[in-house]
Formats: sequence, C-alpha cells, structure tokens
Amino acid sequence: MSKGFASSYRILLLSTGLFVCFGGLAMRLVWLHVVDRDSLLKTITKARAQLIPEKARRGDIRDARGAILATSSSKLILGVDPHALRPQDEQKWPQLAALIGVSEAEISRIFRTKYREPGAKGRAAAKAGSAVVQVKFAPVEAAEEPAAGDDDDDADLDPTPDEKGRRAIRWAKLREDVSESLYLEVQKLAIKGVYGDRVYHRAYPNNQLAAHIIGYVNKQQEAAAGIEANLDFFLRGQQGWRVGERDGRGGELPQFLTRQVPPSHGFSVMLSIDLIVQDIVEQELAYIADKFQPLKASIIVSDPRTGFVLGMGNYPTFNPNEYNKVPREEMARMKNTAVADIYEPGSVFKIVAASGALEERLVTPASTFDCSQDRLTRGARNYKLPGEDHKMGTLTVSEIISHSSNRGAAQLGLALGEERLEKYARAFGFGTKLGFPVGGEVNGILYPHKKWSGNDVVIIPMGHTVSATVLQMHQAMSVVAAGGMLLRPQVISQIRDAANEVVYRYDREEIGRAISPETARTMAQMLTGVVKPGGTAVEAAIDGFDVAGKTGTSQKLIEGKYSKSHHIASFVGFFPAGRPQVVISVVVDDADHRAPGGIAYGRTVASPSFRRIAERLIPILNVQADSRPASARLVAVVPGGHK
Amino acid sequence: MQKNAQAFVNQLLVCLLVTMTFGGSIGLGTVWVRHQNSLTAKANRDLAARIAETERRSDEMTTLIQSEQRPDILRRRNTEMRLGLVPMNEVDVIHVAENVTDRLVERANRELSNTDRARTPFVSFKLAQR
Repeated sequence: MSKGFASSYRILLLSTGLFVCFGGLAMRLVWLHVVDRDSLLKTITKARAQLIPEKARRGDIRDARGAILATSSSKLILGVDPHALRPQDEQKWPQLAALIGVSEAEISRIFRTKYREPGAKGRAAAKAGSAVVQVKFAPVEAAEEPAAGDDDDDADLDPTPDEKGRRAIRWAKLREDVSESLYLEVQKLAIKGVYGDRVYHRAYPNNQLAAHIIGYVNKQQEAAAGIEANLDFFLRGQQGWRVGERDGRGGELPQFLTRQVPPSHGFSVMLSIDLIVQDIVEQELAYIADKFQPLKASIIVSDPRTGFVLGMGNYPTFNPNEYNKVPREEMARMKNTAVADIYEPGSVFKIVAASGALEERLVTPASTFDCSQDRLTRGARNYKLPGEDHKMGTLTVSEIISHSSNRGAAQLGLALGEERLEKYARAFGFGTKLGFPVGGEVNGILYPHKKWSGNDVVIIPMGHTVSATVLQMHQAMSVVAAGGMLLRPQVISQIRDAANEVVYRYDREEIGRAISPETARTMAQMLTGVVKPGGTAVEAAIDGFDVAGKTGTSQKLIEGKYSKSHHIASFVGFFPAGRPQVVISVVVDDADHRAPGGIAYGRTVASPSFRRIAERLIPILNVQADSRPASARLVAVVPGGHK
Repeated sequence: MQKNAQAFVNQLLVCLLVTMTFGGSIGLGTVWVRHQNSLTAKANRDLAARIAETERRSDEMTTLIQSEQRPDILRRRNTEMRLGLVPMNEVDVIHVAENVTDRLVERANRELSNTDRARTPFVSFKLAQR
C-alpha cells in the first residue's frame, strides 16, 4: 500500500489550515450573529424592510338601470426630478410640453430650477405623512418611484440644505390629472427623471346630473357630501398591505414578501334614481331657470307605491368634478335645497285639512261651506278668515280644493280643531325628518298646537305659519297617492359587493298610516278637479290621463312681512289618479319678475312644468292610464265596440 | 499501525472531499432554487402589475364611455350629426287594453276579407222586365 498523500507533516499543516479557516469563519459568524446582531438587524430592518399599503378601489355609484354615476379611475400627478435630467433629453422637452399642454417656457423653468432658495415655500421630501393618500397600483413602479406628496405644494425638497442654505428639489409637479393613456405617451419619450405618481381620482361621468344626491369626494379622498358621505363605509373598502424587503435602489424584492393582506375593494351602491328621469328633471330645471330666472327651484319625481325617488334636482346646481371651482359666495349651489331648505307650502297644504276632515267623517266631498264671509264665530271665539284671490261663494269641499279657497280650508281647519289638525299634519310627515339619507334633511317647522296663536287654526290649513321641505310636501301628496300610507322617501336601492352580488336590498318602508285608503281615494278624486276646467291648474292636465294635484302660491316672508311681490310657486301632483304610478313636485322660488302678470302663481309657473315632465315620463316609465278613453282606431276592433 | 493511520486519513480526506462536493452541490442547488423562486416571484409581481394596468385602463375606458353617453352629449351629437332622433313621446304609443291575440286575429281576418273582396269579380244581373 502506498504511503499516499498523507504524511504527518502535511496532515498537521492541512489540519491547521482548515482549523484556522473554519475557526476564522466561525468567529466571524459569532461576531455577526451574536455581538453585532442588534445593530446590524436595526440597519437592515431600516434599510430593507418596507410596508407597502395597497389602496382599495372605491366602489361605484350606479343608477337604477346600472349606468355609472360615480366611479374611480387612476390619474397621475406628473412631475420631474430636475437632478436626474440628462442633457441629451433636452431636445424632447418641447414634445413633452406639447403633450401635457404646458408652455415650453414653463417646462424649461421647472426643469432648470434645481434648488429652492432659503426662505422659499416648500416641503421636505422626507415628510412621509402626506395628506394625499398615495395609491400603489403597480408594485414595480410603486416601489421604485419615490412618494409624491401634498399637491397643494408643487415640489418635494431635500430635507438637508446645502452649504448655501439651499435645498435641492427632488420632485417638481408638472401637471395634475394626467390620464393613463397620456402618461403612456409621456413614457414613450423616455425622458429620464420625468415620472408620475398615481392617485385614485373620483370621476362623475354625468357631470352635474344628480349632483346633490351623489355628493362628491374631495382631493384628500374624503367623502364630503351626498351618497358618497352617507355610504362611505361601504364605498371606501378596506385598505390592504404587504410587508417585504427592498433592494439598494428601493425596488421591491418580491421573493422576500413575508406577509400580505389583499385590499377589499369597496361595495357598489345602486340608487333608485333613473338617469333618464333625472335628465328630464334637470332639463326642466334648466328651462325654468332660463325662462323665469328664479332664486332657486326644486323638482322631485318618485314612485308612490314604494317611496323610491326616481329623480331629484335643484337649481342652482354644481358639477361634482369641479366642486372646488364653485365660488365661495355661491356655496349654496351645493346644498340640496329640496331637503335642506324650508318654505311655507301654501295651498298644497290644504290636502291635510281636507283629508283630516274627511277621515274624521266631519265632511263629505259634497258638504258645503260659505266661503264669502270674512269672519266666523266658533263658540266664544271670533276668527278672522284669510283673504281670497277672487271672490268665492258657497263651495263644496271638492270645490274648496279645486278652486283653492283659503276660507274654505280655514273652515275645514276649524271643523277639525287645533289638536286634530296638528295630528294630521304630523301624520302626513310635517314637523319631523322623514329619514332621507342625503342632503342634510331638516325638520321643518310645525309647532305643537298648544303653542299656536289664536288665528293659527285658520291660517295653517292654507299652508301659512307652517314650514316644510319640498320633500316633506312631496311625501305628503304621496300619502294620498299611496292609499293613505306615509312611506319613507328612499334613494338607495341596493348595495353590491365587488363581485356584483347583492349584499343589502332596501325595500319599501312604511312610517305610518295617515288616512284610510277610502279617504285617500276620495281625496285623489277631489284632487283631479284641480286640473279640470274651473280648477286652478288646467295647465297640468294630460290628455288621456287623470291627473290629481294641487297648486300652491305662497308669499315669501321678507323682513317679517308677507311680500306681495315675492312668491313661491308650486305644483305637487300624481297620475294616473286611480292607480298612481308617479308623484311629481315642482317648486319655484321667487320667479315673480319674469312670471306672467308679475306674480309667480303655481298655476302659471309650476303646473306647466309638471305636465311637461309627466308627458315625457309616460313612455319611459310605461305609465298606463287606468281610465284612458280608447282611441277611435281601437274602438273599431273591440268586441262589442261601435264602428 | 502507521499504514492503518494513513489509510484512515486517506479515507477521511476522500470523505471530506465527497462531503464538500455534496455540500457544495446542495448549496448551489439551494441558490438555484432560491433564484428560481425569485424569478417566479418577480414574474408574479409583473403579472400583478399588468393586471392592475389592465384594470386601470379598463376603468379609464369605462369612465370615458360613460362620459360620452351623457344625455347632453348625445343630444349635441344628434344635432351635429343631423340624425333627427327625437325623444319618445306619448303620441306614437297605443295602449292596447284587450286581448292582443284576439286583436291580431281580427286584424288578420279583416285584411283577408278585404283582400278577398278585392279579388272577387263584380257580378251584375240584369232582371228581365215583364
């Protein structure tokens, strides 16, 4: 056997060498893992570990037919790091300027300004807690791009000033609201140092349509008004996050991802608003604004069988895409006046006293009242009855409604008495919030009858000294249309999850019964007289359909006195009267200066709008006349019909 | 005795070399697997980025389409393109109250009888006068 490689000397040498190598290695390992462990871990954790938030996509708001009313899309804030620019890219600057719509001079100024002088406005790049929520859509880009910040400011500055006290500009804003397609074009120019930061942008594709219902999300991504604010909990979703590591250039190392919680995207909300109906409403409002130039106007369209609102609009209005461009002195445009403002409903309120008197069996539609007398004695009290627009004689209850007699209504109020008048007013929804989810609904004013002054019982039935929102008046008329039941006005129909499954469905909700179905039917029948010849609103009549409704012309209270030159004109009605499918309210505030005769009556200002809206809704909502007279063509083929 | 020791050391060295080769292979294998993991993770991340990109473009396009379908824009296009489209109105809507089948049958029969009447030659008789 050969001696081989192993000799005592070589064995010793090899062993020593191996021992020294392994010993050194072991020492170094012990040093790194035991002695320096804490400081090294601290450095590594600080340098490599990162938590990346994953913003949830805010859910859509859709109309009853599924059309998008509000959605989220990504936009980019385009900026530049002036220090990263290369001289060879300078020839591309004009192309970039043309692409993003900024002048070449401005681009050149931003690109060449590399430092912010001491005392100038700016913010530190290291400031992490920015007001704007940054969205990291694409992990690659998101992890590699530095964070942008508050877009109130236009630059990120180096936190450490140089020896001259200047601070280096690390990022300067070029343009906001850059679309994905435009950003793609910018990227194709390949100008080093020009990049965008993605943020979620809330878009309202239909501009001002239903703006007061939808509301808006502000630049800080906070829901500020409307459905956006009311259902923010469902819409906003749940932010996700992931913990991982980044390399020396800040790029994410996905292989070292340790924990990940995916974002839960926001739920979608489906409204009862129908975009087509809403468009009709807003077209009519635009027409009213153009023709009468009123102070404000509101229109509501709803389904009396369910209480769901199909359209609600106000003039003036605003565009939620440009909410920040509304001048400070015109902020009232953003208020949903149909639910947040109150007015004296005037004669429309007569339906309360008439319904109450009928319900209590105090009168029948044929009962008569002398409406010519201006004073009336009941017991020990003598009441001064309100004036009439024109002289009235003895009228039946039906005629009191159709002719809109103030003295007739006053006598119905007297017949009811204060306590029952208040009871019925409250049963019709006055003096309390109806639970409408958006717009900052107010109570309206209806004092307890014990606080009424002596003559209130004859004034309140004609809609004075009581104040209501347009929605309350609308809902009171809906009581008659809905067979005597006061329903909660609703605008949210469904909530759907990210997979489009319905997670919550809103249904018809009854607040309480105001009057019996029989009384409601009688009232509906009486209200059809308003649009018939001799009534106060023949302008609201629709050929082939029985329309029930009531006009209102209330004087505005200006400096404590009822004005004779400022009125609120209204018409609230429904059709078909026998089988109501649509309730429409039109309320126009202060249109006197452009109204015929200088006074804005409900008949001349609001009733025509009612008819125009109703006629357009018939084919859209497939409204069927319950007592529609058959046309000549049809009579000929009906069995038993006459040729 | 010395031979045995040398043989043992030789075996030890061979074993050491084999162990180092084996260990190295394991190490290289581990590195390769980790590299593959890294590549897969990066590919996944790129795919996620592409999906996010597609979703973003989809959202943008949806918003654009919805904006273009805005009622006022459609009305403007109708005017600009002279399409002559008009909103639905009640005039053209006929509400049929009776049974539709009967109505169609009657109309068909009526048309049939009208056609038969048109095809039937006109026959006249001259009565003799006595």
